[in-house]
Amino acid sequence: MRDLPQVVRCAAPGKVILLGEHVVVYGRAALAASIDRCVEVEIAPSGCVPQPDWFDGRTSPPQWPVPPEALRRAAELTGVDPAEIAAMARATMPSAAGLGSSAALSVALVRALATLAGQSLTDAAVCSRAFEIEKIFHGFPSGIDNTVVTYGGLLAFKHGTAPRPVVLRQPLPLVIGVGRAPRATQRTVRGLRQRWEANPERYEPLFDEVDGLVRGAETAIGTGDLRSLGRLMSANHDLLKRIGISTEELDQMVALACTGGALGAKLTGGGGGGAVIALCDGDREPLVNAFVNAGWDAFATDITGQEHGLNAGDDAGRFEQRDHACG
Amino acid sequence: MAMPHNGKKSRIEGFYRMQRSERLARLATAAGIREGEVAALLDPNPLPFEKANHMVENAIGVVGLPLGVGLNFLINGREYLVPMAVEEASVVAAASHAARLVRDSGGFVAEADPPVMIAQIQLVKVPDMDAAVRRITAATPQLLASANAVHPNMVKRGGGARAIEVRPLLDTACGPMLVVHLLVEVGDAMGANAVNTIAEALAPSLEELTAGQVRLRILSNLADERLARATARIEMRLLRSGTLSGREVSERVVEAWAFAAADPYRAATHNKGIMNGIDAVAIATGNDWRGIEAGAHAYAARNGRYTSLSEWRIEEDRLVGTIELPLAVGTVGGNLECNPRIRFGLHLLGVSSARELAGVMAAVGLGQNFAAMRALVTHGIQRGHMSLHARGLAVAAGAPEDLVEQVVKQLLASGEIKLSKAREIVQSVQLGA
Repeated sequence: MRDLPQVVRCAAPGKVILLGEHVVVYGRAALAASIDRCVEVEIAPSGCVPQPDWFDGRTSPPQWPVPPEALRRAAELTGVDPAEIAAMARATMPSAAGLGSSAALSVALVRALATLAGQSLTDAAVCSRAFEIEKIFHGFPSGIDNTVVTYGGLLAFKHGTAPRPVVLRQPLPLVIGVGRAPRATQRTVRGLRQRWEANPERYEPLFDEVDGLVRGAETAIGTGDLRSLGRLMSANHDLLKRIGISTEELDQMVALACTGGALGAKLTGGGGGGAVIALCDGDREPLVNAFVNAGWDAFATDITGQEHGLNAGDDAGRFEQRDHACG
Repeated sequence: MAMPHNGKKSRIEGFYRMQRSERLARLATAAGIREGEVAALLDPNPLPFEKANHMVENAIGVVGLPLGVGLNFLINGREYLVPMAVEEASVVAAASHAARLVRDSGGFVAEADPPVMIAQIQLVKVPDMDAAVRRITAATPQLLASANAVHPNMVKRGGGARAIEVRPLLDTACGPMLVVHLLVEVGDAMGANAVNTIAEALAPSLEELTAGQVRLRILSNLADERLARATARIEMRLLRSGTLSGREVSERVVEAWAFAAADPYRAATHNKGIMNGIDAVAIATGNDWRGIEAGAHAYAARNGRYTSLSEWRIEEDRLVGTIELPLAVGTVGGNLECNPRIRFGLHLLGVSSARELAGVMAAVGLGQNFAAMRALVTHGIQRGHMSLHARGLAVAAGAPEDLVEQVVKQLLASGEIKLSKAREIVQSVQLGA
């Protein structure tokens, strides 16, 4: 192996599921998009602790060592000796909120290690390696998160077909509200599976209904029809409630968004906790403030259909490498 | 261009020129209709008299209505072949034409509220209105629970009583009365029977709580808890007509809408055009179109003045239409299941829930609305009517199927769209043939 006296940094965006979470597992459609928040991974030779001044003295976001198991798996996939390296991660987005932070970590990790090893990976290779790492975090991930995070933009998913980029007529202005309870994807996925197995006649039509909303949303996005899109999102939330994915807190947040001027809102991701997305029209600050005043974290983000990159709005999808003398 | 997502194809070129057998064969391919189901349509008897005799009193027969297919409907990215039962010429063609234009612009977007029906319970001679309101509000959880006990199956399927609203009507012709609204989610049935039963079951408790007397216990057809909505964003370039540009046609459509929005005389006709499509689907799918009509028109007057159910505006290069109206419809229920033609209609349409059906109907209504306005602001409504009228006359005059087109053409050219003229032409064509 060649010398590794350098530090590699690499970032990947988070994601939101716009519509169709859970039902996508049952062969229906879903829409998911990358957001302009990210997780960044820094890899250095072991013994060389990554510098804490990554962000030039600005307010330091949360940072934590990359879980050793994930690092080991990623190193293995890249052919790097895990004993030779250490990795730190930091995020500009909340984790365990259903916003894809673990997929972002996985993708960033894969890209950083590939860079370190001098490998040039295709997106497809990044995506499949990240999926392997995702399994450490999630057991049986759907594959959506790592795909959106790898490719960026807005993608339409359907089981058995390749993800398809969706063209936006205009950016989608969102406010993301983060609940106090973390998302509980594994529990909600398992619970829904049991309910569906016990009573498919009840759940199948509901899944079909969500599928219709997702298709409608794609039409609305393609024609720039934000009002319809908002209503479809709210209708999707209502159906997620019916299939037992929402919580009282998420319902309250959706209600707050809808009474606070959003065109529509829904939980996003695994549910059972986590975050809500609200589609807005006009000034988003009042809604962000309304969330914050009610005790929830919230931020505005735009779905642009473009790839997102390191630090909101920076060079999209690019990862960088910097020479960093160790010791 | 959106791709069909449900394996169907609602765009069938030249459908109107095909013979019936070919049309049915094409539907069978496009919608996966099996031969046995087509048999329901081919049976000369649309509804066995024995069944009709159980449905209404003093039955003496069954009346027929034409059943057509609205083509080209792309709604929420799904293809729909829309069964339409209607006696009026041009409705099916107009809907299909509008759907074609919307389809070429990306398709309709539609959705509907959860199927929540309102049951009304009227209480009179309530001694203390304020106390009655307070006591009902306090007892709401128990009232909802006893409402749900009436229909445990409905609850099992995810439905059930959702809320209670109390509305004092202080100034009626018979003095003050208290009206209790019970909101019940009814699932995929239209829900009339279910909510009526629940309203009756709650009556004694409400009398006890209010010390008043219950009179009416019946659903409201102003089902404004279950609104359906649709949007169409039509590319203006597709609307060019004769010497008019797409933008000019669009501006005229918006003017036509503004007329309806401002004037009840026009709004009545404008909304009638919407209901042409919605009722046709309602009838073909076995739904209560009188209830739908009542709800639609009451909703159109919800702000104190009767107005348009739709809204049209221009956004950049698109003509944008939206519609919102209550649609209390079902996809299951006794009347639907015992009528083979209605089963056929529902299968052809292929909706999996009442909510989906409501969304489709809203889209059909919006398309119908657009088609009527477009015709009115361009060549006028009579042209389409006349050619269909001529076709009807040609058939009535005994034109054999292979000569109908020719007779229609001559009849239209003659400018004399009458049965006697049609007979004359049929004779001369047959002699020539």
